[in-house]
Amino acid sequence: MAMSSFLHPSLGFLVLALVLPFLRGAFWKWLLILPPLVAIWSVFSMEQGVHAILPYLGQELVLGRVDPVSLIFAQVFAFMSLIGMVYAMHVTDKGQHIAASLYVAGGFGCVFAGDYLTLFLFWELMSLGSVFLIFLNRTRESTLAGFRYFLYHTIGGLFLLGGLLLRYKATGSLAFTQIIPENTAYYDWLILFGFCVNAAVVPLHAWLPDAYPRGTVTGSVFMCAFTTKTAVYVLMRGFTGWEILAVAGVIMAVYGALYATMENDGRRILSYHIVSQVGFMVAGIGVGTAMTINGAAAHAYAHIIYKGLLFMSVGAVLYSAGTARLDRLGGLVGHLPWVMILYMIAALSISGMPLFNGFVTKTMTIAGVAEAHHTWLAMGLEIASVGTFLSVGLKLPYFIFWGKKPASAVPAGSLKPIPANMYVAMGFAALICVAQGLYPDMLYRYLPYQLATPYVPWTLWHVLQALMLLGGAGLAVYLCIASGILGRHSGQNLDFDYFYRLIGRGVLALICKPIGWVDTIWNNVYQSVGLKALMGFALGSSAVDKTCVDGALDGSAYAVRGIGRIGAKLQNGVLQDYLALTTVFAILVFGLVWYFG
Amino acid sequence: MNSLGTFFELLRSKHGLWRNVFLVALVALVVINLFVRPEEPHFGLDAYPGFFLVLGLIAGVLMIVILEKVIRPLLVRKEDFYGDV
Repeated sequence: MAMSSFLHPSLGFLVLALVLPFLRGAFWKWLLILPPLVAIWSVFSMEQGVHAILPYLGQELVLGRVDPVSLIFAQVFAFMSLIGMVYAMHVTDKGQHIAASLYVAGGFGCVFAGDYLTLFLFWELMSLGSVFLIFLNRTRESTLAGFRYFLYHTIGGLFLLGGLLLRYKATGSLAFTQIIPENTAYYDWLILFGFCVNAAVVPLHAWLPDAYPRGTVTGSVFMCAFTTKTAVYVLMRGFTGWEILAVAGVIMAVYGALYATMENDGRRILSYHIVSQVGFMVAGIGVGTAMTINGAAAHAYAHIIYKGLLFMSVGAVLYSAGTARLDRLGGLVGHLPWVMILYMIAALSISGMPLFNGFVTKTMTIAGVAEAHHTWLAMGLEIASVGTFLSVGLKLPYFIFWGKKPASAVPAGSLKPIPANMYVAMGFAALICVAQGLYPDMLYRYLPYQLATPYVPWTLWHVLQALMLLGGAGLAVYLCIASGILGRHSGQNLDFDYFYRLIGRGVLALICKPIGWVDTIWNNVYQSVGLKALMGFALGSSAVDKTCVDGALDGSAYAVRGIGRIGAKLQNGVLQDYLALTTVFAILVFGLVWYFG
Repeated sequence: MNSLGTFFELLRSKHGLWRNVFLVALVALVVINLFVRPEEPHFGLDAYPGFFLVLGLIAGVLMIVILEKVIRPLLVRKEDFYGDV
């Protein structure tokens, strides 16, 4: 795969995942940061063009489409992978690192994929890697959430697969290029549906707030960065200017912000804000002007960093206190002051406060949408910004760090100290948030389109407008907390996953009822007819057996028992293990087909 | 608790002072808005000074009141509603 001037950034992560199980001792944790460093070097040194074309199944897989759009996403993926790996360095469970590596490798693979087949393979690799980041939290809750997540993403993936195969049949091409909204076919909609599942477009979004709060502390940091942003990337590649995405994006932005305001679990609040922030990007892609595409790309970059920092700092609270639920936390600022500072840097970034990177990217998107004369959509995005500041900028930090401790709160004495590597990772992310806010050109120079009149975020009016909007929202929160309207509540709020579960149960009943019916009849038949016949047959065969077969069989019985033992070990009834085995098997088959085919 | 933590605890105890500073800052923003005008008003109403502050305040209050008093009571279930925990 390594070519002149193009080293695929996935390669290092795949190698890491492959060798990690065989390493002993404690030194291997330093190896975790090697693939990200190689990826960063690779992204900054690769030349634009098409690289790494791999013949496979009579097709040509394009593994390295390098242009400004793939480069900016790859760059932020590379930085985020470094931040995530440093944050996870203290974790001794190798499984988590392997899952994260496969997941990140999948993300890079999608970004550089030049055809649908390559995209699909890496898309599924991401889905497999991420499901183990949920499983490995090793609670009943996360196991169940992991299965729901996997089922849902498999269905989304199948839509993508169906779409790309039908598209291939109709057009004879697997090339992954822009689809013009005016001449679309039904298979394009299937592909769009598959992408929208991963982009968490409302009402297909409910897997996200279901799964991310239940992943491991370090695993959710990876997940919040890659899945939805890879989906944003592929939408940008295939579906710019689709009006329906502009509307869907604004709905996401508002919906996510509203739900987050009502939630109790810190990581679930942040999860709903992924839906909301990805909505800004999807809206930008839907409007489809050079400025809104630039805005979406810039916002994806900033979002990956500040959302990573949000998940890291709330993850640090969860690591230390054992919970991220607002009704069980309070007054932690004295005990975790640095976590509070780092959290606030991310929270002000996501809110679009001047000095931080959200300010230079979010205002760009909104201004672009307004300039394209989608005034009402721009207004929706402004209102979503208010909701973001309400919940992430004020409500969450107030109840975790500043507000009075509730009676059910975790006692300060039981707080676990936070490992230094977590602080280092958070510090690095915070540095990027502030640096990009102060020097927007650091980010803008990598944007895909050159604008006739470049967008300037730092004008007196933009600063004043942002401060007034956020100030008004701040006053609203102050009034609502002072009057007791906004408080801590336990409980979970129903979302669209209620309907997903109904569908799931319906399908289960549809399959189980007929099978159960056949099984009952078979049991009856077997007991009345089969058993008698079998007894007669057994008497006859036992005579033959005793006289001649015994000796020959004894030897093979030992062999069968040996195989049976391995079989019993593999077939332990734990579905997660089956899934892991299937993954290994699939990769082996993929390799064999590639080598011999 | 380290010295930074103690410092923040001190800030935390002076909440009355912070509220007053905040309110003065809001008034200052509206006064500045009298002189710093929007480059290009998109919504019509945003030509008036203080529009975005009022927008933030009204949207914020409406959002919180409707969500907490109407929507959440309809949607909320106990933590283990699905039997997952």
